[in-house]
Amino acid sequence: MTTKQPILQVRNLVKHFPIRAGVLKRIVAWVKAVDGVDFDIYEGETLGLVGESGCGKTTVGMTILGLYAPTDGSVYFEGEDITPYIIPRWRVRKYILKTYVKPFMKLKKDKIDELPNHMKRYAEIFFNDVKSNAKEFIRMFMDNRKDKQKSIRRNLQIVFQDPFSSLNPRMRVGNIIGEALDVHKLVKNREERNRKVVEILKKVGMFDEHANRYPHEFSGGQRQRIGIARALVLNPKLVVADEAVSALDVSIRSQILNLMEDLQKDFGLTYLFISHDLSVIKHISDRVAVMYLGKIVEIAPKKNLFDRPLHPYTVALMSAIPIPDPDYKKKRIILKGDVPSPINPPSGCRFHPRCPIAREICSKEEPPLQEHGANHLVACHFPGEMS
Amino acid sequence: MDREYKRMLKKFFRNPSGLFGFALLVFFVLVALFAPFIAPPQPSNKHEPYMMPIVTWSSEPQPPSKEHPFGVCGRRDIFYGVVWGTRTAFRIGLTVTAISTLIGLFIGSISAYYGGWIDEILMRITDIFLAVPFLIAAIVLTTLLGTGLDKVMIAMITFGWMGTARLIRGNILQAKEEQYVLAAKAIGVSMPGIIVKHLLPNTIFPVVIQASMRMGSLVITAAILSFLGLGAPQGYSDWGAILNYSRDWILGAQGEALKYWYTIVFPGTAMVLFVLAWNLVGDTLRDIFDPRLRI
Repeated sequence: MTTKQPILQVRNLVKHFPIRAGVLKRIVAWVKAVDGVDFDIYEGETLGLVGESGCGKTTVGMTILGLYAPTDGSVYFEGEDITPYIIPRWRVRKYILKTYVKPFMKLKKDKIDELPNHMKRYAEIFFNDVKSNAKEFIRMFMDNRKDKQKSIRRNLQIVFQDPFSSLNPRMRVGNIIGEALDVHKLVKNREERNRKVVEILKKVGMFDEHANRYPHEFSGGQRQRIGIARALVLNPKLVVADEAVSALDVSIRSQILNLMEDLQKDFGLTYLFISHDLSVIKHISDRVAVMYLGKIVEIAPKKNLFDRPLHPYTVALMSAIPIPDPDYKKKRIILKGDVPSPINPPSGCRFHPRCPIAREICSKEEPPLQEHGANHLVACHFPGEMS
Repeated sequence: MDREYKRMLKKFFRNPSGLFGFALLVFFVLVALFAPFIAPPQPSNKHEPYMMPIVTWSSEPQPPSKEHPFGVCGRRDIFYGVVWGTRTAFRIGLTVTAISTLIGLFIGSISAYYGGWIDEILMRITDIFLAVPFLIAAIVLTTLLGTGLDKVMIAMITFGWMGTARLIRGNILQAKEEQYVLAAKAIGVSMPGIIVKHLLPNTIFPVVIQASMRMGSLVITAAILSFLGLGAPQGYSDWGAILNYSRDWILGAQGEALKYWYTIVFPGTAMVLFVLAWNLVGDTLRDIFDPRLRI
């Protein structure tokens, strides 16, 4: 692997949404939007997250940012567990007990080194700093909650899909962008605020006079630039781009993509780029993760994934990329059936009812995400059999 | 949005009924402002100008004359009462509407923003208040608190906030799924910040319209309470209280049914016009802000 450090680590992330019914609003079922997702994002890279609509891509992005509280699992930012700050306060104690205290209690002190990296740091704190005192350990996560939340907000930002509903129609552009500066008290007075707003507006290819206008006076592409400016004004380290170019027409799309690439260099940004559009993903990503029904089925460097997809679902997706050559005859793999309901996902491998190469084991055992070749992770019992 | 506001103002003033309502309102405001000049208080009631001066010792109403242009009823000058009653009407309307709207906004937006059991509890409380007919609830509460204009206002505020709460809750439920609200959360804007800066500006217009419509009807309710003798004290300048005096003379005299018409017509007309003004303004606002009627 590269020497780059992971900036964000996601471990077994789960987000289930309750479905309520009846007078008492009893929970009758759960939509398993994200159901155990693991991945790392390295500093300065762009991780593309691709999958069909409804597979949980957006939920992953929102949960990482803490806009939804994760049901289970952990999110580490720069090695620090930020989960306690994005779940409600009353769940923190339980979370710490389950994630750290219980495994550590069972652990022999000399075996700390066997723990995965992200746990090691907390094991050392647990054994050395707080001397196995669980109460003290939990209090550590309860302290400075507000400050920690603010720093998460500053470091992790999001660019939304819809340039029309993502800007408050009753606020001027200057205030939309400047609000973040006020909330985080990054500016001392109005002049400094205006200067910063204009500076960032220019960075995204707009002009200073635009700060006094309202969102409805702009086109879709310009609005998306404003959305990007709002995300970048806090100087974040990681930006989640949630279908950031899907709502734009093709000519504007490439402009915005290029802008995002330029900004990545200027600000040293890391992107989690969520999209259903494979050509966009291919253009902008360094590595690509493929999601299907709440799970990551394959994750690999872009070139590996596009040249040699291992998971049958990825193969089918790739075959759907249109090639602008009328003479080129390509075998399309048409998947049978629809995506199963995330309320009641299939047993074993979630893809097995639609998989052309499924065998008996596929419906019984869930394949783990395992390494097959350099940095190429795939969750399939028969990786590479279909190509 | 400046352009938007200008466009709306233009539309408002092009609408004849809106313009009429607005003109009526301006008229009432002027009357209220210049009450001390239109109907100067007598030396006897200088320190409490809201009390209508007693001008005669005969209990029978006297028809309009040069000295008393609207006549005399209950020994008091009706003209004086109608003029100073304008102030009372504004005081009741504005205070009750402002406070009850604020309460409604607070409860409705908290309810919608948090959802879940907080929403459930707040909305069930709202339902309880809604279950009691407004007028009866106001009468009972005023009786419990004791008579007086302030008690009437308290009663009307207590039972007047539910409509606003319901309205703003529905609007916020709709608006809170918008991405700009999520974006504000991602930036780290606090809960009150999101409600005040992002949700309310996009949802408050229906509430403003509803409030302006309610302003008129509140004055009627206050008048009803005064008419029943629960509101303003004896002799207080209040349209309802004047009507209370005229209650005994409504039937007129033997063989002359309309003999005491002036005891009803002047305060009654003032009230009708006041309500009409607010309703016309509210109606016009609704037409302007209704997106379906937007061209």
